[in-house]
Amino acid sequence: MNVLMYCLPLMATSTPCCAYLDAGSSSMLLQLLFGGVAGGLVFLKIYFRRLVSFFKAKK
Amino acid sequence: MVAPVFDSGSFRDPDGHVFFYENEIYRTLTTDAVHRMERLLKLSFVKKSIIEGRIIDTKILEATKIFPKDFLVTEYVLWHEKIPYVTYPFEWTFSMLKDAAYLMLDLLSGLLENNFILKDGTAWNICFYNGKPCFYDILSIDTYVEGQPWEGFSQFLQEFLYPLMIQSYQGIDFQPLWRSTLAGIPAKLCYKSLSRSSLFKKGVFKYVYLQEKLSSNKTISEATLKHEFTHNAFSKKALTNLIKNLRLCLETLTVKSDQSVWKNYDSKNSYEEQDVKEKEKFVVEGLKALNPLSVMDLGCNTGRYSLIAADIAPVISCDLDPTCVDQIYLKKNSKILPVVLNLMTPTSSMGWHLNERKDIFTRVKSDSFMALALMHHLCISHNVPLSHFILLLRSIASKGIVEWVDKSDPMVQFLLRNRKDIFKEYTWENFQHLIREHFHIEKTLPLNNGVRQIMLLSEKKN
Repeated sequence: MNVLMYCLPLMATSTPCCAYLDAGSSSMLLQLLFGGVAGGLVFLKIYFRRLVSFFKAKK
Repeated sequence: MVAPVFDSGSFRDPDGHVFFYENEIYRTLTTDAVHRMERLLKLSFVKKSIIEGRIIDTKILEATKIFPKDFLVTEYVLWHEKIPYVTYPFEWTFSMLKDAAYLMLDLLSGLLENNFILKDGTAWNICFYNGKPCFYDILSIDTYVEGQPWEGFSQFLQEFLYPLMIQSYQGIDFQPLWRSTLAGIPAKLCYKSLSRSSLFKKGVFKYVYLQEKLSSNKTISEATLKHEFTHNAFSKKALTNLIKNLRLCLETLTVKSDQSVWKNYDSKNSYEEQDVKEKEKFVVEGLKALNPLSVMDLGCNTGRYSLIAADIAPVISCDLDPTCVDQIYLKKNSKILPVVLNLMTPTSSMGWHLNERKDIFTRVKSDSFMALALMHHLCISHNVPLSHFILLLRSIASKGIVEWVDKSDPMVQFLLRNRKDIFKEYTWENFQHLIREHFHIEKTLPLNNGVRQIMLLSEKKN
């Protein structure tokens, strides 16, 4: 399960945003991932939210 | 109204600021911070850490009892034991940074057991005192709330783990990189510095690769995650495991012993055994005659003479080679403060308004110096005129021991082997003449048939 958790971020496409680049969010998520299952769920939730907002914006 | 003199580098934490009063160090405290500090200082873990010298000795005092009337500070203040010399993380060696990292994790783990946590994970909160790391930013200890993450996690990675990794895995000295950011080594720089095979080494994938990929990801960096920690109950156990794993990762990091050209210098120089003994005797007798409060050993190499001097007074051992300085640190002599210092690029004032971090000579002061087998490296390798070299010594202290290394010395000949000799003023006669302008020569001892001369210098009185 842990291996799966660590692989999840690799599925994310990397799009750098320099001006507001903040190591804080990533390190928080990293801690969640190391913490176990909940971290993976949060990761999926972030992407699900992004997907929803993408379709909402289309309307 | 009397205003306290605040430390220009203590402005980041709104809970309190460091100030100086009558040669003592204090810190202002907000009302919230007073209650927190009272609870903290009562903990047996903190009391034990203070006794062991892992946390700086601290007391809460009532301002009206120590300061004059109308002194503009908070009702309560913290008093801290004074640390004689503060050195910065990029002036430390590999083993020093590693020991400081262990201290950070040990404190975090002990604090968590008592429902406290560190607000950050910065190496700036640690100094070296009595030969070991000591945590001195007590105010950065906060109350732990179940479910919260460690906000200093990425800071810890950048300021401790990544520098140690690039040194251990790639043999790259972390000090110049650390100094350029004043905040350690960013994940991207660490990731790009490591070879592909390093990805399989302990902790690299977890702490470097993932951190780099996540921090450069737009979706992740824009996400609001704070509330997830309470909803998903990121347990104290998970946090404890994180600390445990970081510790295990640190334990695998070591330095290769063949990284320095200077490390074997002590055994491969132009000295005969008899001359070494005479030189040591001269240093011991000379220092005893000078009766210094402290000695700054410039170009200390692996610390042969620092160790001798440490029997007489506290020593600040400086050398540009981190591997040499590391060897001194590993001898764990409580009277020696090892410092990685390149005299051609000494630490200047830096940070916010060029005032946040102080230059090395403001922080580390001494009333005497030793400059043994140093001058040819500065005057020949770096074209520093003799007069400039002597002025540097005089600006450090008014007395000390200096060694003249003649052009005929094999080590100088080695430095000159592939270059034009442009050093007409580099002569023993000129050196004596220039040194008399700033010092009084107590005595001189010729070594190696006069190729080297060691001089005892005292204050010149007009």
